[in-house]
Amino acid sequence: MLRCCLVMMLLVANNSWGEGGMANITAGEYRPLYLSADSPVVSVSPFRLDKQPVTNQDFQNFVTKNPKWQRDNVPNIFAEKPYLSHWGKSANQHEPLASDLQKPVIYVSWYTAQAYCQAQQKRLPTVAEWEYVAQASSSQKDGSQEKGYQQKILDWYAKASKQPPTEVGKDEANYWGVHNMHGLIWEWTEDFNSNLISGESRDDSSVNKELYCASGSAGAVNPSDYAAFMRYGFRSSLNAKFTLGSLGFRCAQDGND
Amino acid sequence: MQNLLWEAWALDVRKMVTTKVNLMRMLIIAWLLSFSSLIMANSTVPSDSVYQVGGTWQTENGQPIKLESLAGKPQVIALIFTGCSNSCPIIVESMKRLENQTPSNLRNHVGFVLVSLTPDADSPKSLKAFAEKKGLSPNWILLKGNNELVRALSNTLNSRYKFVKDGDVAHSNTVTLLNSRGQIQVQASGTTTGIQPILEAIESIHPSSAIDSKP
Repeated sequence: MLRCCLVMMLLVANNSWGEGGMANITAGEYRPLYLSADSPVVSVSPFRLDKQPVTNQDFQNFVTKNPKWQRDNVPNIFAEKPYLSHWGKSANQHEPLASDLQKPVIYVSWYTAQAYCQAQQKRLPTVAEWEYVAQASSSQKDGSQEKGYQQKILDWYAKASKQPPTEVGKDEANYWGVHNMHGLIWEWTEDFNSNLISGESRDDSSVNKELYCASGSAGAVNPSDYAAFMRYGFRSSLNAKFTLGSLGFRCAQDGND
Repeated sequence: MQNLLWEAWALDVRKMVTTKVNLMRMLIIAWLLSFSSLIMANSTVPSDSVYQVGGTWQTENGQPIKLESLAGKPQVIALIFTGCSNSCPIIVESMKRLENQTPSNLRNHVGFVLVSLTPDADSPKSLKAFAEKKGLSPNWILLKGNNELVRALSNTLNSRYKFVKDGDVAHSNTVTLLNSRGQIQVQASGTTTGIQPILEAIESIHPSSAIDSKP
C-alpha cells in the first residue's frame, strides 16, 4: 500500500501534465546585467521549473478543460487576434496539427500563459528565475563565461525567425536538466515588463537611470552579454496581450522537492 | 432565462410548501438559481473590459468583493501602495482634486478605486488607515487582491511595477478612467497637470449616462 502511494506520488511529481516534468533549481544569486557592479545581487529562492516549454498538446489539454481560453472564447483584453492562429480548425474546434503536438505552443499571450500555469497550481517564472536558469551551460550553473556560450545564443538570435519552432526537448539539457532555454523560442515571464520601467513614460515614480542610453551599457555588469540585453529589450517591448509566432512559455513553482 | 426560472420557482412555491421533500426541492432550485445569476453576471462583462480580470478582492473594510461589481458607474482607478512615500501621495492628491473638480451633479456618480500593489504587506486595516489619513470620501474604495491578480490588473491597465529594495515599489504613475462597463476611456499620468484629460472626460459624461442600469 505504502509503496503504491509512493509510486503514485513519484508519477505525479515527475509527470504532472507537462511531458518533461519539472527540474529542481537550488537557491542562488543572480546579478541582473543592467545594474552596476556594486549594486545588490538578486537572490533566487529554491523553485521548480518545467524542463521543457509548454507544448501545443499540453495547451490543447488546457483549453479543452477550460473552454474560456479557447481561441473563439478568449476575452479580447487577454489576447490579440493571432491567439493560437497556428492551430487548425476541425469540427468547430481549434486544435494543433498532429505534427505540431510536441512543438512549443506559440501565439499565446501573457494572460493565457498565466492562466495555464495557474490551472496546474503553478505560475510563470520571474525574470530573475528564468535568467538564473538560462545562464547555466550543460556542465555549470553559471556557464556564461564559458567559451562559445554567448556565441551559440547569438547565432540563434541572428537567424531570422521565419521558420516555426521545432519539437521541444531535442537539445542538450543544461546543468539543471532543463531544455530549450535558448535556441527555440522566446518565453513569457511573470514580471516581463517590470525591468525597464521607462519606455513611453518618464513620469514613473522611480526609474533605473543606469539604463538610459549610453550609460546603460557602460554601467552594466557585463556589457558583453549582448544576448541578455536583447532579451531584456525584447521583453520590455511586449504588451501582455501580444501573441507572437516566436513566443511561448513554461511554468514554475515555489519550493523544492 | 432567469425570469423563466424564477416563474418556475414561484410556481413550485405555491404548489407545494409543506413536505420536507418539497422544501429540499425549493432549496435545490434556489441554489441553482444562485448559480445562474453568477453566470449571467459574468457574461455581461464586455470582452475588452478590465473587469475580465475577475477574482475576489477585499475592500478596506475587509469585505470580499468581485472586481466586476465595480461596474455600473465610471471609475477612476490607480495602483498604489500605502507605504509609498514618493509618487503615490501625488497620485492620490491628483485624484482627490479630480473628485473636487467633478461637476456636482456627477460627483457621487463617479467612483475612485485605489488598488494595493503590495497585497502581502497591506491589510484591509492598513488600507482603511490610509483612507482615513487621506480623508477619502465614501466615493472611494481601496482594494487588496493577491500578487497574481494585481499583476494581471496592472497589465490590463498598461501599468508597470517592480519590487525594489527596502520594500519600495517602482511603478507607473498611470491613472485610468473606466466607463461603467470597465472599458478604458482615458489614461493619464497621475500628476496635478497630467490628470487634466481625465477631468475633461468626466465633464463630458452626460449625467443620465453616468449610471448604467445594465452594466
